[in-house]
Amino acid sequence: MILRGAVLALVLVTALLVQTVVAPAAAVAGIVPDLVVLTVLALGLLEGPGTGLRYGFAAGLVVDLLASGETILGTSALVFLLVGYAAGAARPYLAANELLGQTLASAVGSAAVVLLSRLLEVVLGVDGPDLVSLLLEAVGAAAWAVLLAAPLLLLLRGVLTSLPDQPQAN
Amino acid sequence: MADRRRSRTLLAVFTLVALVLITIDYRLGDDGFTSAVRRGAVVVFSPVQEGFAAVVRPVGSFVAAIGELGSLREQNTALEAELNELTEQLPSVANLERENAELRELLEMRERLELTTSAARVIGQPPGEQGSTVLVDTGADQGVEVGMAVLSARGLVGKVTEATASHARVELLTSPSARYAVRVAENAETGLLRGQGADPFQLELLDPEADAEPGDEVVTRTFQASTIPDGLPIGEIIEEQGAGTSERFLLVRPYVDFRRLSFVQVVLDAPEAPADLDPDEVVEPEEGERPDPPSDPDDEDADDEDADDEDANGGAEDE
Repeated sequence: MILRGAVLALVLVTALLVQTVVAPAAAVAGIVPDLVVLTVLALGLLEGPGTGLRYGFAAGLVVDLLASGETILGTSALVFLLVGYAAGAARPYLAANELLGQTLASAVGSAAVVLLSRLLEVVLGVDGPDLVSLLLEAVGAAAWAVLLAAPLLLLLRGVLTSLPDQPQAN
Repeated sequence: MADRRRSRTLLAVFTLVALVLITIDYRLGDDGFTSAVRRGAVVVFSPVQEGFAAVVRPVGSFVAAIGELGSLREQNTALEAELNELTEQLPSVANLERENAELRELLEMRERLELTTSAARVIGQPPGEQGSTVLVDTGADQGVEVGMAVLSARGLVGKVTEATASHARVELLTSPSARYAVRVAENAETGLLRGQGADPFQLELLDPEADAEPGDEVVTRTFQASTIPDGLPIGEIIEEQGAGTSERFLLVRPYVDFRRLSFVQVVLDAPEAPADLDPDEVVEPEEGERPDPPSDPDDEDADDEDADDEDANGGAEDE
Protein backbone atom coordinates (compact mmCIF):
# COMPACT_ATOMS: atom_id res chain seq x y z
CA MET A 1 0.00 0.00 0.00
CA ILE A 2 2.90 2.33 0.85
CA LEU A 3 4.60 1.53 -2.45
CA ARG A 4 1.36 2.24 -4.29
CA GLY A 5 0.96 5.60 -2.54
CA ALA A 6 4.58 6.53 -3.26
CA VAL A 7 4.25 5.63 -6.94
CA LEU A 8 1.04 7.64 -7.29
CA ALA A 9 2.70 10.60 -5.54
CA LEU A 10 5.61 10.31 -7.95
CA VAL A 11 3.16 10.26 -10.86
CA LEU A 12 1.61 13.50 -9.59
CA VAL A 13 4.97 15.22 -9.08
CA THR A 14 6.00 14.18 -12.61
CA ALA A 15 2.73 15.56 -13.96
CA LEU A 16 3.40 18.85 -12.12
CA LEU A 17 6.92 19.11 -13.52
CA VAL A 18 5.80 18.35 -17.07
CA GLN A 19 2.95 20.82 -16.60
CA THR A 20 5.25 23.64 -15.52
CA VAL A 21 8.15 23.02 -17.90
CA VAL A 22 6.91 21.34 -21.08
CA ALA A 23 3.15 21.99 -21.33
CA PRO A 24 3.38 25.81 -21.73
CA ALA A 25 5.24 25.27 -25.00
CA ALA A 26 2.26 23.32 -26.34
CA ALA A 27 -0.25 26.14 -25.82
CA VAL A 28 -2.76 26.53 -28.65
CA ALA A 29 -4.50 29.93 -28.73
CA GLY A 30 -3.12 30.49 -25.25
CA ILE A 31 -4.71 27.35 -23.83
CA VAL A 32 -2.27 25.01 -22.13
CA PRO A 33 -3.14 21.33 -21.57
CA ASP A 34 -3.68 20.76 -17.85
CA LEU A 35 -1.86 17.49 -17.20
CA VAL A 36 -2.30 17.74 -13.44
CA VAL A 37 -6.08 17.81 -13.77
CA LEU A 38 -5.97 15.00 -16.32
CA THR A 39 -3.85 12.90 -13.96
CA VAL A 40 -6.24 13.50 -11.07
CA LEU A 41 -9.19 12.56 -13.28
CA ALA A 42 -7.37 9.46 -14.51
CA LEU A 43 -6.61 8.38 -10.95
CA GLY A 44 -10.25 8.83 -10.00
CA LEU A 45 -11.45 6.94 -13.06
CA LEU A 46 -9.01 4.07 -12.56
CA GLU A 47 -8.89 3.79 -8.77
CA GLY A 48 -12.21 5.14 -7.51
CA PRO A 49 -13.57 8.22 -5.74
CA GLY A 50 -11.43 7.88 -2.58
CA THR A 51 -8.16 7.93 -4.52
CA GLY A 52 -9.49 10.63 -6.85
CA LEU A 53 -10.34 13.02 -4.05
CA ARG A 54 -7.19 12.33 -1.97
CA TYR A 55 -4.80 12.92 -4.85
CA GLY A 56 -7.00 15.69 -6.20
CA PHE A 57 -6.72 17.53 -2.90
CA ALA A 58 -2.94 17.01 -2.72
CA ALA A 59 -2.36 18.07 -6.33
CA GLY A 60 -4.63 21.08 -5.99
CA LEU A 61 -2.87 22.20 -2.83
CA VAL A 62 0.54 22.06 -4.54
CA VAL A 63 -0.86 23.95 -7.54
CA ASP A 64 -2.20 26.63 -5.17
CA LEU A 65 1.14 26.88 -3.37
CA LEU A 66 3.07 27.27 -6.61
CA ALA A 67 0.62 29.73 -8.15
CA SER A 68 1.02 33.50 -7.88
CA GLY A 69 -0.19 35.36 -4.79
CA GLU A 70 -3.45 36.32 -6.50
CA THR A 71 -4.64 32.72 -6.36
CA ILE A 72 -6.36 31.98 -3.09
CA LEU A 73 -4.88 28.98 -1.32
CA GLY A 74 -7.30 26.05 -1.27
CA THR A 75 -9.33 26.92 -4.38
CA SER A 76 -7.61 24.44 -6.70
CA ALA A 77 -7.51 21.90 -3.85
CA LEU A 78 -11.29 22.16 -3.49
CA VAL A 79 -12.00 22.00 -7.23
CA PHE A 80 -9.58 19.15 -7.90
CA LEU A 81 -10.86 17.02 -5.03
CA LEU A 82 -14.44 17.48 -6.21
CA VAL A 83 -13.70 16.47 -9.80
CA GLY A 84 -11.44 13.62 -8.61
CA TYR A 85 -14.29 12.29 -6.48
CA ALA A 86 -16.84 12.79 -9.26
CA ALA A 87 -14.61 10.94 -11.74
CA GLY A 88 -14.32 8.03 -9.34
CA ALA A 89 -18.05 8.03 -8.66
CA ALA A 90 -18.76 7.95 -12.42
CA ARG A 91 -16.56 4.88 -12.94
CA PRO A 92 -19.30 2.21 -12.63
CA TYR A 93 -21.36 3.95 -15.30
CA LEU A 94 -18.52 3.92 -17.84
CA ALA A 95 -17.90 0.16 -17.78
CA ALA A 96 -19.73 -0.56 -21.07
CA ASN A 97 -17.21 1.29 -23.24
CA GLU A 98 -14.46 1.95 -20.79
CA LEU A 99 -11.76 3.91 -22.63
CA LEU A 100 -14.15 6.03 -24.66
CA GLY A 101 -16.27 6.72 -21.60
CA GLN A 102 -13.22 7.62 -19.53
CA THR A 103 -11.95 9.93 -22.26
CA LEU A 104 -15.27 11.74 -22.45
CA ALA A 105 -15.43 11.91 -18.65
CA SER A 106 -11.94 13.47 -18.67
CA ALA A 107 -13.10 16.08 -21.19
CA VAL A 108 -16.14 16.94 -19.09
CA GLY A 109 -14.01 16.99 -15.93
CA SER A 110 -11.39 19.29 -17.49
CA ALA A 111 -14.05 21.75 -18.62
CA ALA A 112 -15.69 21.51 -15.19
CA VAL A 113 -12.39 22.44 -13.50
CA VAL A 114 -12.16 25.63 -15.60
CA LEU A 115 -15.77 26.61 -14.88
CA LEU A 116 -15.71 25.69 -11.17
CA SER A 117 -12.43 27.57 -10.64
CA ARG A 118 -13.92 30.68 -12.22
CA LEU A 119 -17.10 30.30 -10.19
CA LEU A 120 -15.02 30.22 -7.01
CA GLU A 121 -13.09 33.29 -8.17
CA VAL A 122 -16.35 35.15 -8.75
CA VAL A 123 -17.56 34.20 -5.27
CA LEU A 124 -14.26 35.41 -3.80
CA GLY A 125 -14.26 38.62 -5.83
CA VAL A 126 -11.19 37.83 -7.92
CA ASP A 127 -10.94 39.41 -11.39
CA GLY A 128 -10.93 36.96 -14.26
CA PRO A 129 -11.67 36.48 -17.95
CA ASP A 130 -15.01 37.43 -19.53
CA LEU A 131 -17.67 34.81 -20.26
CA VAL A 132 -16.63 34.22 -23.89
CA SER A 133 -12.95 33.74 -22.98
CA LEU A 134 -13.99 31.46 -20.13
CA LEU A 135 -16.14 29.27 -22.37
CA LEU A 136 -13.34 29.11 -24.95
CA GLU A 137 -10.94 28.07 -22.21
CA ALA A 138 -13.34 25.35 -21.03
CA VAL A 139 -13.79 24.05 -24.59
CA GLY A 140 -10.01 24.17 -25.11
CA ALA A 141 -9.42 22.22 -21.90
CA ALA A 142 -11.96 19.60 -23.01
CA ALA A 143 -10.30 19.35 -26.44
CA TRP A 144 -6.90 18.83 -24.86
CA ALA A 145 -8.45 16.15 -22.63
CA VAL A 146 -9.87 14.31 -25.64
CA LEU A 147 -6.37 14.27 -27.17
CA LEU A 148 -4.38 13.34 -24.10
CA ALA A 149 -6.69 11.38 -21.78
CA ALA A 150 -6.56 8.03 -23.59
CA PRO A 151 -2.74 7.73 -23.73
CA LEU A 152 -2.49 8.97 -20.15
CA LEU A 153 -5.13 6.48 -18.96
CA LEU A 154 -3.39 3.60 -20.74
CA LEU A 155 -0.03 4.64 -19.30
CA LEU A 156 -1.39 4.96 -15.77
CA ARG A 157 -3.31 1.69 -16.06
CA GLY A 158 -0.06 -0.01 -17.03
CA VAL A 159 1.73 1.50 -14.04
CA LEU A 160 -1.06 0.62 -11.61
CA THR A 161 -1.48 -2.99 -12.75
CA SER A 162 2.27 -3.56 -12.35
CA LEU A 163 2.06 -2.57 -8.68
CA PRO A 164 1.69 -5.39 -6.12
CA ASP A 165 -1.42 -4.50 -4.10
CA GLN A 166 -4.52 -3.39 -5.96
CA PRO A 167 -7.09 -1.58 -3.80
CA GLN A 168 -10.75 -2.44 -3.79
CA ALA A 169 -13.05 0.00 -5.51
CA ASN A 170 -13.48 2.77 -2.96
CA MET B 1 -20.92 -0.02 0.98
CA ALA B 2 -18.36 0.68 3.70
CA ASP B 3 -15.93 1.99 1.09
CA ARG B 4 -18.56 4.32 -0.29
CA ARG B 5 -19.29 5.66 3.20
CA ARG B 6 -15.57 6.09 3.82
CA SER B 7 -15.20 8.02 0.55
CA ARG B 8 -18.03 10.33 1.49
CA THR B 9 -16.52 10.94 4.91
CA LEU B 10 -13.19 11.73 3.25
CA LEU B 11 -14.96 14.04 0.82
CA ALA B 12 -16.55 15.95 3.68
CA VAL B 13 -13.28 16.20 5.62
CA PHE B 14 -11.14 17.35 2.67
CA THR B 15 -13.81 19.80 1.51
CA LEU B 16 -13.90 21.27 5.01
CA VAL B 17 -10.09 21.55 5.10
CA ALA B 18 -10.08 23.26 1.69
CA LEU B 19 -12.77 25.71 2.79
CA VAL B 20 -10.84 26.51 5.97
CA LEU B 21 -7.70 27.16 3.89
CA ILE B 22 -9.64 29.41 1.52
CA THR B 23 -11.11 31.36 4.43
CA ILE B 24 -7.73 31.81 6.13
CA ASP B 25 -5.94 32.92 2.96
CA TYR B 26 -8.82 35.20 1.93
CA ARG B 27 -8.85 36.92 5.33
CA LEU B 28 -5.08 37.18 5.81
CA GLY B 29 -4.31 38.33 2.25
CA ASP B 30 -0.69 38.92 1.22
CA ASP B 31 0.54 39.52 4.77
CA GLY B 32 -0.49 36.19 6.22
CA PHE B 33 1.58 33.10 6.90
CA THR B 34 0.17 31.56 3.72
CA SER B 35 2.43 33.89 1.71
CA ALA B 36 5.43 32.60 3.63
CA VAL B 37 4.29 29.02 2.95
CA ARG B 38 3.97 29.85 -0.76
CA ARG B 39 7.49 31.31 -0.85
CA GLY B 40 8.74 28.18 0.90
CA ALA B 41 7.03 26.01 -1.71
CA VAL B 42 8.69 28.00 -4.51
CA VAL B 43 12.09 27.68 -2.77
CA VAL B 44 11.66 23.91 -2.53
CA PHE B 45 10.12 23.31 -5.94
CA SER B 46 12.19 25.71 -8.08
CA PRO B 47 15.47 23.74 -8.00
CA VAL B 48 13.59 20.54 -8.87
CA GLN B 49 11.85 22.38 -11.67
CA GLU B 50 15.16 23.86 -12.83
CA GLY B 51 16.82 20.43 -12.95
CA PHE B 52 13.86 18.95 -14.77
CA ALA B 53 13.83 21.87 -17.21
CA ALA B 54 17.50 21.35 -18.01
CA VAL B 55 16.79 17.70 -18.85
CA VAL B 56 13.60 18.14 -20.87
CA ARG B 57 14.23 21.52 -22.55
CA PRO B 58 14.77 19.84 -25.94
CA VAL B 59 11.39 18.09 -25.47
CA GLY B 60 9.77 21.45 -24.72
CA SER B 61 11.27 22.92 -27.89
CA PHE B 62 9.99 19.95 -29.84
CA VAL B 63 6.48 20.32 -28.38
CA ALA B 64 6.52 24.03 -29.16
CA ALA B 65 7.50 23.25 -32.74
CA ILE B 66 4.53 20.87 -33.06
CA GLY B 67 2.20 23.58 -31.74
CA GLU B 68 3.43 25.95 -34.40
CA LEU B 69 3.20 23.62 -37.37
CA GLY B 70 0.80 25.93 -39.19
CA SER B 71 2.99 29.00 -39.05
CA LEU B 72 6.11 26.91 -39.63
CA ARG B 73 4.66 25.76 -42.91
CA GLU B 74 4.16 29.37 -43.98
CA GLN B 75 7.74 30.23 -43.07
CA ASN B 76 9.10 27.14 -44.72
CA THR B 77 9.92 28.73 -48.05
CA ALA B 78 11.70 31.67 -46.52
CA LEU B 79 13.71 29.40 -44.24
CA GLU B 80 14.88 26.99 -46.93
CA ALA B 81 17.85 29.11 -47.92
CA GLU B 82 18.91 29.49 -44.32
CA LEU B 83 18.41 25.78 -43.75
CA ASN B 84 20.84 24.94 -46.54
CA GLU B 85 23.55 26.88 -44.75
CA LEU B 86 22.79 25.19 -41.45
CA THR B 87 22.79 21.61 -42.74
CA GLU B 88 26.58 21.56 -42.64
CA GLN B 89 26.58 22.44 -38.96
CA LEU B 90 25.85 20.23 -35.97
CA PRO B 91 22.43 20.78 -34.30
CA SER B 92 24.13 21.57 -30.99
CA VAL B 93 26.16 24.31 -32.68
CA ALA B 94 22.99 25.75 -34.19
CA ASN B 95 21.35 25.76 -30.78
CA LEU B 96 24.37 27.47 -29.21
CA GLU B 97 24.36 30.06 -31.96
CA ARG B 98 20.69 30.77 -31.40
CA GLU B 99 21.28 31.22 -27.67
CA ASN B 100 24.33 33.34 -28.42
CA ALA B 101 22.36 35.60 -30.75
CA GLU B 102 19.56 35.92 -28.22
CA LEU B 103 21.98 36.86 -25.44
CA ARG B 104 23.79 39.30 -27.74
CA GLU B 105 20.49 41.00 -28.53
CA LEU B 106 19.76 41.22 -24.81
CA LEU B 107 23.15 42.82 -24.18
CA GLU B 108 22.61 45.30 -27.00
CA MET B 109 19.22 46.23 -25.55
CA ARG B 110 20.80 46.75 -22.11
CA GLU B 111 23.63 48.89 -23.48
CA ARG B 112 21.25 50.93 -25.59
CA LEU B 113 19.08 51.69 -22.58
CA GLU B 114 22.07 52.11 -20.22
CA LEU B 115 20.57 49.84 -17.59
CA THR B 116 22.09 47.52 -15.03
CA THR B 117 20.44 44.15 -15.34
CA SER B 118 20.60 40.60 -14.10
CA ALA B 119 20.33 37.98 -16.82
CA ALA B 120 18.08 35.01 -16.14
CA ARG B 121 16.89 31.84 -17.78
CA VAL B 122 13.17 31.13 -17.82
CA ILE B 123 12.60 27.88 -15.94
CA GLY B 124 8.91 27.28 -16.40
CA GLN B 125 5.40 28.35 -15.77
CA PRO B 126 3.51 27.67 -12.52
CA PRO B 127 0.63 25.23 -13.00
CA GLY B 128 -2.80 26.66 -13.70
CA GLU B 129 -1.45 30.08 -14.65
CA GLN B 130 -2.24 29.87 -18.40
CA GLY B 131 0.61 32.12 -19.51
CA SER B 132 0.30 34.75 -16.80
CA THR B 133 3.59 34.23 -14.97
CA VAL B 134 6.95 32.50 -15.36
CA LEU B 135 9.70 31.53 -12.94
CA VAL B 136 13.25 32.70 -13.64
CA ASP B 137 16.55 31.59 -12.12
CA THR B 138 17.65 34.88 -10.61
CA GLY B 139 16.56 36.22 -7.26
CA ALA B 140 17.21 38.45 -4.27
CA ASP B 141 20.85 37.30 -4.05
CA GLN B 142 21.44 38.95 -7.43
CA GLY B 143 19.66 42.13 -6.31
CA VAL B 144 16.24 41.31 -7.73
CA GLU B 145 13.30 42.95 -5.97
CA VAL B 146 9.53 42.96 -6.38
CA GLY B 147 8.34 45.47 -8.97
CA MET B 148 11.47 45.40 -11.15
CA ALA B 149 10.96 45.39 -14.91
CA VAL B 150 11.87 42.31 -16.93
CA LEU B 151 13.05 42.62 -20.53
CA SER B 152 13.74 40.38 -23.46
CA ALA B 153 15.72 41.41 -26.50
CA ARG B 154 12.50 42.67 -28.11
CA GLY B 155 11.05 44.68 -25.28
CA LEU B 156 9.20 44.59 -21.99
CA VAL B 157 8.21 41.13 -20.76
CA GLY B 158 6.65 42.01 -17.40
CA LYS B 159 7.66 42.70 -13.83
CA VAL B 160 8.82 40.77 -10.79
CA THR B 161 5.99 39.97 -8.39
CA GLU B 162 7.82 37.66 -6.00
CA ALA B 163 11.47 36.93 -5.28
CA THR B 164 13.23 34.25 -3.27
CA ALA B 165 17.00 34.13 -2.75
CA SER B 166 17.67 32.43 -6.05
CA HIS B 167 14.46 32.62 -8.07
CA ALA B 168 11.81 35.13 -9.01
CA ARG B 169 8.27 35.04 -10.31
CA VAL B 170 7.54 37.37 -13.22
CA GLU B 171 4.04 38.51 -14.07
CA LEU B 172 3.91 38.70 -17.85
CA LEU B 173 2.33 41.54 -19.80
CA THR B 174 -0.15 38.95 -21.06
CA SER B 175 -1.61 38.45 -17.58
CA PRO B 176 -5.24 39.64 -17.42
CA SER B 177 -4.35 41.52 -14.22
CA ALA B 178 -1.39 43.37 -15.82
CA ARG B 179 -1.90 47.14 -16.17
CA TYR B 180 0.78 49.43 -17.57
CA ALA B 181 0.93 53.14 -18.28
CA VAL B 182 2.10 53.53 -21.87
CA ARG B 183 2.30 56.05 -24.65
CA VAL B 184 2.15 55.95 -28.42
CA ALA B 185 5.70 56.59 -29.60
CA GLU B 186 4.66 58.56 -32.69
CA ASN B 187 2.57 61.24 -30.97
CA ALA B 188 3.11 60.74 -27.21
CA GLU B 189 -0.59 60.07 -26.56
CA THR B 190 -0.84 58.33 -23.22
CA GLY B 191 -3.00 55.41 -22.21
CA LEU B 192 -3.49 52.30 -20.14
CA LEU B 193 -2.47 48.90 -21.49
CA ARG B 194 -4.16 45.71 -20.30
CA GLY B 195 -3.06 42.10 -20.78
CA GLN B 196 -5.58 39.71 -22.33
CA GLY B 197 -3.90 36.31 -22.22
CA ALA B 198 -3.11 35.03 -25.69
CA ASP B 199 -5.10 37.84 -27.33
CA PRO B 200 -3.49 41.16 -28.32
CA PHE B 201 -3.15 43.74 -25.54
CA GLN B 202 -5.96 46.22 -25.09
CA LEU B 203 -4.92 49.89 -25.10
CA GLU B 204 -7.27 52.57 -23.85
CA LEU B 205 -6.07 56.07 -24.65
CA LEU B 206 -6.77 58.70 -22.02
CA ASP B 207 -8.01 61.03 -24.74
CA PRO B 208 -10.67 58.97 -26.55
CA GLU B 209 -10.32 61.13 -29.65
CA ALA B 210 -6.54 61.00 -29.83
CA ASP B 211 -4.86 60.02 -33.07
CA ALA B 212 -3.40 56.54 -33.14
CA GLU B 213 -3.18 54.31 -36.17
CA PRO B 214 -2.33 50.73 -36.94
CA GLY B 215 1.43 50.46 -37.18
CA ASP B 216 2.12 52.99 -34.41
CA GLU B 217 4.53 51.79 -31.74
CA VAL B 218 3.53 51.55 -28.08
CA VAL B 219 6.21 52.09 -25.41
CA THR B 220 6.29 52.23 -21.62
CA ARG B 221 5.69 55.46 -19.80
CA THR B 222 7.14 56.14 -16.38
CA PHE B 223 4.53 57.21 -13.91
CA GLN B 224 4.15 57.66 -10.16
CA ALA B 225 6.55 55.46 -8.12
CA SER B 226 7.12 53.26 -11.15
CA THR B 227 10.21 51.10 -11.51
CA ILE B 228 9.51 50.41 -15.18
CA PRO B 229 12.00 52.36 -17.32
CA ASP B 230 10.56 54.87 -19.75
CA GLY B 231 10.39 54.17 -23.48
CA LEU B 232 10.69 50.38 -23.48
CA PRO B 233 9.10 48.94 -26.61
CA ILE B 234 5.95 46.88 -26.04
CA GLY B 235 4.29 46.35 -29.39
CA GLU B 236 2.48 47.95 -32.28
CA ILE B 237 -1.13 48.93 -32.79
CA ILE B 238 -2.88 46.55 -35.15
CA GLU B 239 -6.55 47.44 -34.89
CA GLU B 240 -8.96 50.05 -33.60
CA GLN B 241 -12.26 49.00 -32.04
CA GLY B 242 -15.28 51.05 -31.00
CA ALA B 243 -14.12 54.10 -32.97
CA GLY B 244 -16.17 57.21 -32.26
CA THR B 245 -17.66 55.77 -29.06
CA SER B 246 -16.70 56.22 -25.44
CA GLU B 247 -15.54 52.60 -25.40
CA ARG B 248 -12.92 53.05 -28.07
CA PHE B 249 -9.78 50.96 -27.60
CA LEU B 250 -6.87 49.76 -29.66
CA LEU B 251 -5.44 46.29 -29.99
CA VAL B 252 -1.67 46.03 -29.62
CA ARG B 253 0.37 43.10 -30.91
CA PRO B 254 3.37 42.49 -28.62
CA TYR B 255 6.91 42.45 -29.98
CA VAL B 256 7.85 39.73 -27.49
CA ASP B 257 6.94 36.14 -28.30
CA PHE B 258 5.76 35.07 -24.84
CA ARG B 259 5.63 31.40 -25.83
CA ARG B 260 9.29 31.33 -26.65
CA LEU B 261 10.88 33.08 -23.71
CA SER B 262 14.17 31.48 -22.78
CA PHE B 263 16.41 34.33 -21.58
CA VAL B 264 15.34 37.59 -19.96
CA GLN B 265 16.95 40.44 -18.04
CA VAL B 266 15.73 41.95 -14.80
CA VAL B 267 16.37 45.71 -14.65
CA LEU B 268 18.12 46.37 -11.33
CA ASP B 269 18.66 50.12 -11.47
CA ALA B 270 15.66 51.71 -13.16
CA PRO B 271 15.27 55.26 -11.84
CA GLU B 272 12.20 55.34 -9.63
CA ALA B 273 9.74 58.08 -10.49
CA PRO B 274 8.66 60.03 -7.39
CA ALA B 275 5.15 59.36 -6.14
CA ASP B 276 4.78 63.04 -5.30
CA LEU B 277 6.78 66.26 -5.29
CA ASP B 278 9.41 66.57 -2.57
CA PRO B 279 8.10 69.39 -0.30
CA ASP B 280 11.70 70.46 0.48
CA GLU B 281 12.40 71.09 -3.20
CA VAL B 282 9.22 72.99 -4.02
CA VAL B 283 10.09 76.56 -5.04
CA GLU B 284 7.69 79.14 -3.61
CA PRO B 285 7.05 82.18 -5.87
CA GLU B 286 8.16 85.48 -4.39
CA GLU B 287 5.56 88.06 -3.32
CA GLY B 288 4.21 90.13 -6.22
CA GLU B 289 5.68 87.84 -8.86
CA ARG B 290 2.72 85.56 -9.39
CA PRO B 291 2.12 84.92 -13.10
CA ASP B 292 -1.07 86.18 -14.72
CA PRO B 293 -3.85 83.63 -14.96
CA PRO B 294 -4.27 82.14 -18.43
CA SER B 295 -6.81 83.91 -20.60
CA ASP B 296 -6.74 81.64 -23.66
CA PRO B 297 -9.68 79.20 -23.52
CA ASP B 298 -7.56 76.60 -25.38
CA ASP B 299 -5.07 76.62 -22.53
CA GLU B 300 -7.85 75.99 -20.04
CA ASP B 301 -8.91 72.92 -22.05
CA ALA B 302 -5.35 71.69 -21.98
CA ASP B 303 -5.25 72.05 -18.19
CA ASP B 304 -8.47 70.05 -17.89
CA GLU B 305 -6.98 67.29 -20.02
CA ASP B 306 -3.94 67.13 -17.76
CA ALA B 307 -6.21 66.74 -14.75
CA ASP B 308 -8.11 63.93 -16.47
CA ASP B 309 -4.81 62.30 -17.27
CA GLU B 310 -3.82 62.26 -13.59
CA ASP B 311 -7.18 60.77 -12.53
CA ALA B 312 -7.13 58.03 -15.10
CA ASN B 313 -3.66 56.86 -14.16
CA GLY B 314 -4.08 57.13 -10.44
CA GLY B 315 -5.67 53.69 -10.34
CA ALA B 316 -3.07 52.05 -12.53
CA GLU B 317 -1.39 49.22 -10.72
CA ASP B 318 2.16 49.91 -11.76
CA GLU B 319 2.58 53.37 -12.85
